[in-house]
Amino acid sequence: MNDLPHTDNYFELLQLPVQYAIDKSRLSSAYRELQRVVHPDRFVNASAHERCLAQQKATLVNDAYRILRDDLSRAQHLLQLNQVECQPHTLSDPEFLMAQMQLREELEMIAASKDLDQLGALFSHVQQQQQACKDRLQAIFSAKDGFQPACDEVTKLQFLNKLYEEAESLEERLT
Amino acid sequence: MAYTEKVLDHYENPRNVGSFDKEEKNVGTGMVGAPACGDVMKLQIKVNEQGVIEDACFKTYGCGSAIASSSLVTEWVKGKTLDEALSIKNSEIVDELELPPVKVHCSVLAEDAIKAAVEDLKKKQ
Repeated sequence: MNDLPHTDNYFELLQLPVQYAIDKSRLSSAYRELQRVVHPDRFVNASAHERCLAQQKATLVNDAYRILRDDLSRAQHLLQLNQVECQPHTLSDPEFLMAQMQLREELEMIAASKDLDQLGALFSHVQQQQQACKDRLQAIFSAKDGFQPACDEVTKLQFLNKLYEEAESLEERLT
Repeated sequence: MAYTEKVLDHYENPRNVGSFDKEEKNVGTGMVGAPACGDVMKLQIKVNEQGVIEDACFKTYGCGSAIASSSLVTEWVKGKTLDEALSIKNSEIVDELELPPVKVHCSVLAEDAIKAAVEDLKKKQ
């Protein structure tokens, strides 16, 4: 397992190109391969030190897979690798926030009316917005022309993901 | 996580939930959001001719602590001048509601919401 590179770069760890666009089936096969190499079962007869190292590597590989698989955290990882710091605190883009508030009000109304058609419409609306964010992230990262604008998209995606989660839990309650 | 009684009180009986017409000249609207948890907060203040806040309301989508923080500050800002309202610190909200460290960001959000509302109002006048 010495062939595992010492790196904070999860793309390099999984031998994938350092870019936002990702081939998820390639990611899965790279993950399974590495997981096999570092699996703790292979080290039951090894020294305590080696077992500990294998455990650490296995954790690292799991983290890498989890981070790269998710469209939001992959963007955050790329920003981190490029030393771009996003303002972590309060967002004050009134127009975007007003739209978010309206969507949450809509969700509240659906919770009362139990209208599944309306919920379906809300899901596809949020999905469209999520996709638009991801498309813009893809454009920003591939242009390599300053990554700071990606921060806004990451922030918006966080709000949209949260909204989507809430819509999912409402769907669970209603069905 | 267990909420303190004060948080639960505001969460279960939130004060001043609602909306004012944001187009009115004596209404200031603060919209803020916390990216990490996706909380959205709208806080509005209404001032009289002397520049004193005579009414306030809020609408918050978020966790119990975010709702309690915004509910609390709508009570606090009533009767205050704009400058007094601006001097409210998130640490005072933390102390009053006994928020744990992981919920401090909710009080920051409420402080930022007041600032945004006052700024919005000043822009109009």
